[in-house]
Amino acid sequence: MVWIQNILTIIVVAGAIWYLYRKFIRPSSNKKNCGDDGCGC
Amino acid sequence: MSDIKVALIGNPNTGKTSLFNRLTGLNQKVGNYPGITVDKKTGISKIDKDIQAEIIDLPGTYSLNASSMDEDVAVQVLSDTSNENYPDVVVVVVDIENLKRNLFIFTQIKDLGLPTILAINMADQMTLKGIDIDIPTLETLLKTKVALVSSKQNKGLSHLKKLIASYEGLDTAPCFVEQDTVLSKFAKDEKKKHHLETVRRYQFLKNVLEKTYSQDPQNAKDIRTLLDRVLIHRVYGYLIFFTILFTVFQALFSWSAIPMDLIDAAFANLSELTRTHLPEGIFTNLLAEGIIPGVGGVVIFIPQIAFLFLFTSFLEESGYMSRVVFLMDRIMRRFGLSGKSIVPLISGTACAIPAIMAARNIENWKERLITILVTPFTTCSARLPVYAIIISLIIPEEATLLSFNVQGLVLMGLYLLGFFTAILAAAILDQVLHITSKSYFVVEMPNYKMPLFKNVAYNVIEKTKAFVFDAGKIILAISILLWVLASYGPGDHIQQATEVVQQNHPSYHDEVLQAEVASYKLEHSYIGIMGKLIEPVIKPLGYDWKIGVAVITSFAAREVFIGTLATIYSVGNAQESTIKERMRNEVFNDTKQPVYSFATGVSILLFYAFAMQCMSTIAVVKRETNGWKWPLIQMFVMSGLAYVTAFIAYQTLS
Repeated sequence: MVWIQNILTIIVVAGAIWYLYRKFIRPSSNKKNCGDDGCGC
Repeated sequence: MSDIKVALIGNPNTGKTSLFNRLTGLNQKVGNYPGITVDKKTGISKIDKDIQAEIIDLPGTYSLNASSMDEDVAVQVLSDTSNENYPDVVVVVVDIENLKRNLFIFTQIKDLGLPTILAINMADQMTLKGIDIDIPTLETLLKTKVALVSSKQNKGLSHLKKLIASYEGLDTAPCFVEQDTVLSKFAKDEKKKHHLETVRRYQFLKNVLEKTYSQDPQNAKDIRTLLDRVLIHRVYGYLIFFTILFTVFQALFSWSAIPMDLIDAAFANLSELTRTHLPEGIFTNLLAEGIIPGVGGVVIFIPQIAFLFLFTSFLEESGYMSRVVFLMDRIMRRFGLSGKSIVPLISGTACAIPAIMAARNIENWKERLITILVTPFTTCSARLPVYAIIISLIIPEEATLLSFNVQGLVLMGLYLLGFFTAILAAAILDQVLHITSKSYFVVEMPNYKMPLFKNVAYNVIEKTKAFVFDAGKIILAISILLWVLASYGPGDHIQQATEVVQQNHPSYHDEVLQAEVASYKLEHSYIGIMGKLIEPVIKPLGYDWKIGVAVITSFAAREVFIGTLATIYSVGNAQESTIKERMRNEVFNDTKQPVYSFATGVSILLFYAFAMQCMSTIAVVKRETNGWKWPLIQMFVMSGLAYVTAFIAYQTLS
């Protein structure tokens, strides 16, 4: 069970890092900017 | 019996077709959207016992510039004497409330040298709207005869018929004297010439109406005008707006208290359930200490955010918001902001990003720049979670002032603080940037209406959803990272935490020991080390290193502040407790005094009122100003102001 928990944790943490990286550090150029559709910040 | 050919012409929505129906008795469908009369319609009307008239209902047109098919039909009939429908007399129908715009075509028809009568329709609105028209002067200036009619109430028609019957005595000279007449213009179509001519015609009409037309709202009797008289009044208007604002903030706290407490308790239970029902391990810890408290930190604010959007949607839908824009215009002009800055500033209460983009319609660059720079001061919905939780920690729920809830008063004070800081900053920037010309802003006042439940509900759901999901995703990701940084650290401090604490405090047992171990682990984790590094900078503001970490992470978005604290306080804490309880129980390690004292609370509130804690806003300002110069200046000035005010507040109050 321990290894499943470890793998899940690694996946979730990697996903979080990837999301923040794409959101703030290198946003994709063809993606709408935050606020273009009136979204919150 | 002699026959007269009468052409009815006018702008769409002037009640021309209704008048045609009244005159001819023909039953036709009358719509209220432009261009309903696209075909030529004719009917017979008995003008006198000896005279009958053939009425030709021409398509509704704004001008005779022949730029559309409808205008083309009108030009063909009125300019070609050989046309079978060429009239003996033209009746131009205008709406009493839109005389300036409607009279444009009248001046063009007069150019054609045709006998022309002006029928001012909807005259039944005169008393209701407080309108007064000097008919004899209007007749002299427009070289015509005027009939006040109401096709709705069937009034003034006999006078109009008399005028039609005596059309031969009408003055056929143009009323607007210009070298190029409307007909010669068709021959040499020059865009610029058209434009100039249009401007001159409107200038002429403006002068005519200044002498003949007046509208006094004091004499108006219709509901809209009566309401406007009070709602945009110099004194009562502001008093009413203030009362509405006051009620909204009072309700925001009292109505949302119960659902917020329920959500908070539900997440605390969920965290506890995860810990007890899932197998032990790091993923269980990540869920119970990182993800659930972090997400709970945003979900808890759904009731307050939803109530805020409910009130604003209701006010928007009812037509009141346009009156607020009008009221604010009066204040803002004194501080150097143009009318066009009002919409961005007011919409900034939801989010600064679309508000900054709304500043694009300000033509003057300096005015636009000022608006972009000051908009982030207005209290956006992302500040609400920080304000709400800190207020509830430092001000008791039962505290009242003149029987009003103090929590609600403080929240309203913070919204007003943001607004007035924005306009004060604008006044300073106005002096620095020296704006010489101000742009004008025309706001259309819609009619008051009962808000549709469907529209309001849709608005509330959409906006709340956007807030929860956009902020929620960032908070979730940051909570996960924070959990990693708070659960691990360099060396073997974390692993040996229990032995070290037991050695240092041999008398500690069970819960006390557990709490001390959790605290030791946190201080030696990566986040603890980072927090300790920044502690000297934030200590003068009354913050400990944990608040310092939350201030840094909330640079991504202000709402992250609460999520960060919820995660930090959860790591290693096995006790079931809500976010509020954890924050309330938090004490400084050295003095054992509560962290969230009144002084620290005020310091945090002021810091978030002024600080530019939003990466997305910085990105938008960079895009809108085409460089890093202005967003960096904005960020340093706002953060500097936030630091100084928070410092003064804490040092004074502690």
